[in-house]
Amino acid sequence: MLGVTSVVTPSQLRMKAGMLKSVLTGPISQMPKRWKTFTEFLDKNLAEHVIGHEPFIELNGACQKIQGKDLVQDSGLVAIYRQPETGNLLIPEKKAAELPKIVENLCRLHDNLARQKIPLLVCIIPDKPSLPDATFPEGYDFYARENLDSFIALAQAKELDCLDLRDKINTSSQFFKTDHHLKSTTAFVVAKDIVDWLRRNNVIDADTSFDPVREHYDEWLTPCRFIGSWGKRVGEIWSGDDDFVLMVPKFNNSFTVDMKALRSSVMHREGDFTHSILDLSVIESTDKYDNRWGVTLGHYDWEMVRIHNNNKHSTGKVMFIEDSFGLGTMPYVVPTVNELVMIDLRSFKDMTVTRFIAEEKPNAVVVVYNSQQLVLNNMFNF
Amino acid sequence: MLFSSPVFLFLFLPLVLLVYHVCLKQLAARNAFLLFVSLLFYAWGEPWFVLVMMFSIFVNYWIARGVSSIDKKNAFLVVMVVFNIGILFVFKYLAFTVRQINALFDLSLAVPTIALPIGISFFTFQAMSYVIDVYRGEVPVQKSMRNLGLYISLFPQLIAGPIVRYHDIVEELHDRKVSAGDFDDGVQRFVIGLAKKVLIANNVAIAADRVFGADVATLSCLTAWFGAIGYTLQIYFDFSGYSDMAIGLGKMFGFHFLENFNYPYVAKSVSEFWRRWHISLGRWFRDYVYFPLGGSRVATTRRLMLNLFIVWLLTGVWHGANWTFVLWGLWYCAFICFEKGLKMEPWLQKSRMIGHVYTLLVAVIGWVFFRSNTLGQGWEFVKRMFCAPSFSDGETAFLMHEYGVVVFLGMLFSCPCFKGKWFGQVVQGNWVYRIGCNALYMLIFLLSLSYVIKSSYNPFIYFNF
Repeated sequence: MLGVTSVVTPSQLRMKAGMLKSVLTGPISQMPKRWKTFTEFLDKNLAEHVIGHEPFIELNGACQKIQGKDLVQDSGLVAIYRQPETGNLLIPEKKAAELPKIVENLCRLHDNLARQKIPLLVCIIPDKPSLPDATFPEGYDFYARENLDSFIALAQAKELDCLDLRDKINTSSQFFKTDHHLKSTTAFVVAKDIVDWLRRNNVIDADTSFDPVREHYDEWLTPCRFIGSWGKRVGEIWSGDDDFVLMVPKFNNSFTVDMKALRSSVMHREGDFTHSILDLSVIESTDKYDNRWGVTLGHYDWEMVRIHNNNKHSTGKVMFIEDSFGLGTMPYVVPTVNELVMIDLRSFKDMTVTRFIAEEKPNAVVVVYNSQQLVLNNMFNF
Repeated sequence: MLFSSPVFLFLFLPLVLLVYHVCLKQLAARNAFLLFVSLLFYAWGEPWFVLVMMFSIFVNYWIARGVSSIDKKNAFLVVMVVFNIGILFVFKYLAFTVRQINALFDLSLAVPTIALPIGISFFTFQAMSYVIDVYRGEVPVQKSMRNLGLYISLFPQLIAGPIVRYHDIVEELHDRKVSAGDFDDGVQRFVIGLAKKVLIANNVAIAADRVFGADVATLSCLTAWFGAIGYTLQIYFDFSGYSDMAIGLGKMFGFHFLENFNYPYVAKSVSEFWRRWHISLGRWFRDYVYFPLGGSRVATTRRLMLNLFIVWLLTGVWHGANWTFVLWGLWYCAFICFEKGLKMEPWLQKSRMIGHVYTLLVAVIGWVFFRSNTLGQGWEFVKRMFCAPSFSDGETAFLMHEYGVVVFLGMLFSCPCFKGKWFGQVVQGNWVYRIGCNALYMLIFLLSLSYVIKSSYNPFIYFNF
């Protein structure tokens, strides 16, 4: 017929409808999600990474101080409280909801290791909010002490080897004021208890020359001043700053360190304690915002670290399953062992922990976490 | 996207101003650009909802074209009302309605879970006002869908008002210039609005939320009052701050929106309060509901009360799908009926302090119900304000210590401290004071930025409407 060039058949219509549907349910349907990811990324990161937020944080802190406030609402942490008596910073802590499950996972790990005749030590280090002198205004969750007490009771009931540090770590002066981490001198105390346990379990020999005791270490008050992670959120004017004391061994030592971060290649270091285990560059800046407490290995959350003690007098291979509290404690344990392997379950994803242990065959496994992990509960899947 | 977010302050607004004022000279191009960025602004948080708004613009455009024709204009008007109220009902009130039906008839109907497009009440009411004004012959129909879309979706007032009437800006849609004075005024207004929001509203919000989030049975009298006053200040500075930012932004682009707040907490009667609070909403209901019902020019007092009841019922319902909002609207209805019925307002205006205290009491108690999740919670809260077993407690001391300063500043700045004639004359006449004022604005802006960059507590209350 004149003027009719083509007729669309039903099958062609069906095909076009199918194509449209596949586009709408395929790439186009992904667009809103990708758009949201993009907008959320910008919303979250623009202030911090593009504008340079430190002067504004300080200005905000000054405002808070002028108003005489002891409590500052902070993104991601609900609130930061500055104890009027000590100037110590604290944050709320919710009630741990899954302690029985955590203990059950630890028991399973224990049983698995027991079959391989590998002793397990659970070292849950009290965090700042769990200390007896920690107080927080009413109306905020503050269950840190209760969480820790409940966990230790459950662990002991299951006859897990569990370090109870509540008597030894019991004042806020053992922690940095503006950060949630232990001071080096406190990590030193924890390390001693771990070393004693290793010796009791015949993982290391009887030679105590390298034990973390005051006679074997020098206390070095570094020139570093820094603002911890909590202090960085509210500014130095409001929070103050911290000094930095480092424990450095007096004895001769030499270590070989291989460190792997997530999706990176292995980094290698060799040398004595201050050149291989420590990374002093993180405390050398004149800018307090740049300095960090985590001088151990530069305090990155390494996926896996392997440290070989070149000192031939030491024995034993120990595996740490750790978070940043374990990272702070490890330097004072490693001089007593032959080899120490550390993994951080936030980034160690290559294989299961039990399989890794079977491959590494350590003489002992130590789980070293701070007690806040009892609430977060994402580090106990072994 | 929020006005008080780093993305808006450091990326969106500077880029939009730069392109608008420097790159684009033709009005048509500027309008098209503003429409595009307004849609982008709306789509920032939830991309799908921009389709809802565009659909609303499309339908209202054609309805207005139909209404402007002689034939069947009434039919088109009915279609407009059904369409716009229908959209509002589906997104905002459907779930609530189903829940009430289930409760009333002991049914188990599935309660739909429908996300609420931000600002739907505002842009829907704007669209309705446009079509009604066309129907009444008060404004010519807008033949350009782009310009109509711009009117409805203009980002300064899109999400939380003011509800801009079409006839207020129709000329500026077709012809506008931005003078240096306008731009300067706009910037200053924006800075003040931002400060109201992030320096005062966001901070008293923490105190208010703390009190309202606590178990009401544990509240002492002063703590309950602190929470109520805190929320009273929060909602004022939040909403008026947003309106100030909207008005300021409008001026930066050559639009002059009408004022939306006029220091409502200095009112001496409830009637006066509502001539000062959310003025654009009050005008909307007055012009499109109250006056068509006859307003106050009705034969009987009974009919007047009925008209007021309808208006305030709808005002309460507009604010949200909860019985607390209905009660809040009727709370004001009762007092306005009282004032009008007994002709109390002249006496209240003369009495000054009595009128002032009475109005503040009504407002504060009204906000308690507005803020509460349920009627029961609101009632219990009000009871604690007046007859709690304990007068004050440790919580009161804590709140005073932590938030006393900001509450005091909120109370101070809710009064027109710096609006007196003498202040204006001093500032105008003296260059030292002008420099000082500019320096003060800069300081306020920097303080506000410090809170924006640090703060996480940032939602606009009236986003829920």
